[in-house]
Amino acid sequence: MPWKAIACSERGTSHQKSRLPCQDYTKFIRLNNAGKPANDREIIIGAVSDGAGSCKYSNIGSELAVQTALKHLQNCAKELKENQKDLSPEILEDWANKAFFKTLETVKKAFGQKAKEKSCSPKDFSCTLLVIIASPNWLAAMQIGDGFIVTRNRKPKSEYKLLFYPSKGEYANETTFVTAANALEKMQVKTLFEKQQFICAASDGLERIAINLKDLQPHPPFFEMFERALEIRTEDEERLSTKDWLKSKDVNNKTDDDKTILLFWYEYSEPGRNPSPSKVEKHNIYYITFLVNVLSGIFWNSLYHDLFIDIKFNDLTLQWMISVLIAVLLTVVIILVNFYIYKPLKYSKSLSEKVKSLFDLLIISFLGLALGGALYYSIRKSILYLFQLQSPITTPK
Amino acid sequence: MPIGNVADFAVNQEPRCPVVLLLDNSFSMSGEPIQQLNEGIAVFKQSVEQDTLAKLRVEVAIVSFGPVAMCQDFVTIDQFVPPLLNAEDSTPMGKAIEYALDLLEDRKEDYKNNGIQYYRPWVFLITDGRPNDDWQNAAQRVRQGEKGKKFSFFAVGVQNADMAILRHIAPPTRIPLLLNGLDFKSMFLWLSQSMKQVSHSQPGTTTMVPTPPVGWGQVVT
Repeated sequence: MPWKAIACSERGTSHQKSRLPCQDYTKFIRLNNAGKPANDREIIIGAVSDGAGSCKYSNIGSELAVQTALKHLQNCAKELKENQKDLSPEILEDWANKAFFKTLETVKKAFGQKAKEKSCSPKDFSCTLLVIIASPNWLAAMQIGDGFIVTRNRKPKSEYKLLFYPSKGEYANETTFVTAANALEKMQVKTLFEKQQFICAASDGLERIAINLKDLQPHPPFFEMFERALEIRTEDEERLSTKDWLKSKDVNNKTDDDKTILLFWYEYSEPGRNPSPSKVEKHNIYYITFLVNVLSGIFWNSLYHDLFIDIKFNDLTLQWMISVLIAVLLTVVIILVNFYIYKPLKYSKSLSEKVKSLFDLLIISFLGLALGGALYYSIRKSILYLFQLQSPITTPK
Repeated sequence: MPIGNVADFAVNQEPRCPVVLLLDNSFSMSGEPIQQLNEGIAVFKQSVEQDTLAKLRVEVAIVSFGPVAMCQDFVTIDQFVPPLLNAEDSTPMGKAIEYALDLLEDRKEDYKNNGIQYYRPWVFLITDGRPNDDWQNAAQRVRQGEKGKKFSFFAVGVQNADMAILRHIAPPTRIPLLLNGLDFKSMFLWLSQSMKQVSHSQPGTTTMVPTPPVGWGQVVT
């Protein structure tokens, strides 16, 4: 499952006081290569919507907007999948602009129908809308109204990036809604043709906690705590813990609005290959390598000694030929053994990590070989000394 | 001594809901009226303070006129100490209004520079007399500001206030009200409720409180 994802909404304290329902809504779906919902594949689509406080059906509106947008984009994603081989930043951008334009149309249409059913105005469903589509290699997002989307790409030490500036009016209680006449103008769309590690979308209830509004920069500790949690916890664990956190006093002291968070975290694994080794596995590999190399060292040295010191060949060329042959054979065997052991390390996350692992293994191999040789000779010498022998084997002449 | 009034923004990042009280402390207010007014301000603080978030969001500034003086720079209700006003001199209402509007503009700049969100400010004028300075320019600024949604302007007359001039100053959409007797308390209670409501309002909420409010004032035609 490449994408770990969490979607959580909690009612704000002011909504509890005035007995309003939670007017936020969020959801995500994962798609497989055929564009069908499946939990094990690459594309993930998520949306967040915040219903307007003053509109009586905005809780229905936010849910309808999210559901409609997801359903519509699921179909759009299929289209994209078919010609994904030659996907370029331009094609992606073009596709995103069209897809989001149609999404807004579809949502508005759905509002129109619902308004007829309930015989009210579509404006009664007023809500904001934030949508993200992500694959392992790219991301497309749109935003109408307030709330925020923050991403961090997979390059080491990359920083959190606020995708869109919040679209606020002058006053804190003003923003654009999907139902506004100028919603299309105010819709912001962005595509990133880079591999994302972490994506977070939230309603404006969390804005002041997560974003430094003075310079409009994400507040890294806020996002780090979610990223760390997603890395080590399972989805279910983290969903519960996020829910608790959203309900906590710490959060409620800072915001009285409904709060919603949608989190995507990319789990690195390639199908059919071993996952990268853990620390314990890595240490085990080091021990085995060391042991194998010590044994090879003993074997090699004993063979060498037996063949070329104890046994004297008449023909010098033959002796050299045999010695080179055996040396090459042994070297190949040792390298093969070492390579086999090294294999799991090949899937370490980054290049620097790989190089470091390789370097460690080389040092361990050499040390092992040297120790093996030293062991052989010390054992040999001590046996000879103990038994007061001059030479264990009489050299045939 | 630090210059400016922005130190609190680092500690309190809540969006602000500013209100300027433009209070007449001319000589005619002396005695019972000024005392009732002072009590009314204290009631305002107490009432807003009961709401834990509103007291961090509602910011009050007091400009008294008679003569024009900044009685209290913008301060959130949790740190607000109600002042005691004394009845003093004349009624330079025009100058006072312009002073208050400038103060408000400066405050908005402070908010913007410090990344603090804010709600539409309220200007609340209370007078018992008639301006003794040139108020035409002030009236024009009030109407323009109200039209441009820069603030909401409320005018309240007390006892012998010149309601005709107040009507020229107040925006046409929100006609001035005459306070019932000296019932400042009810008026400030209503103001505190309104401010609490605004300070909790979320996108899409209209901050317009219906006028005329019931209970403490009446429209005089």
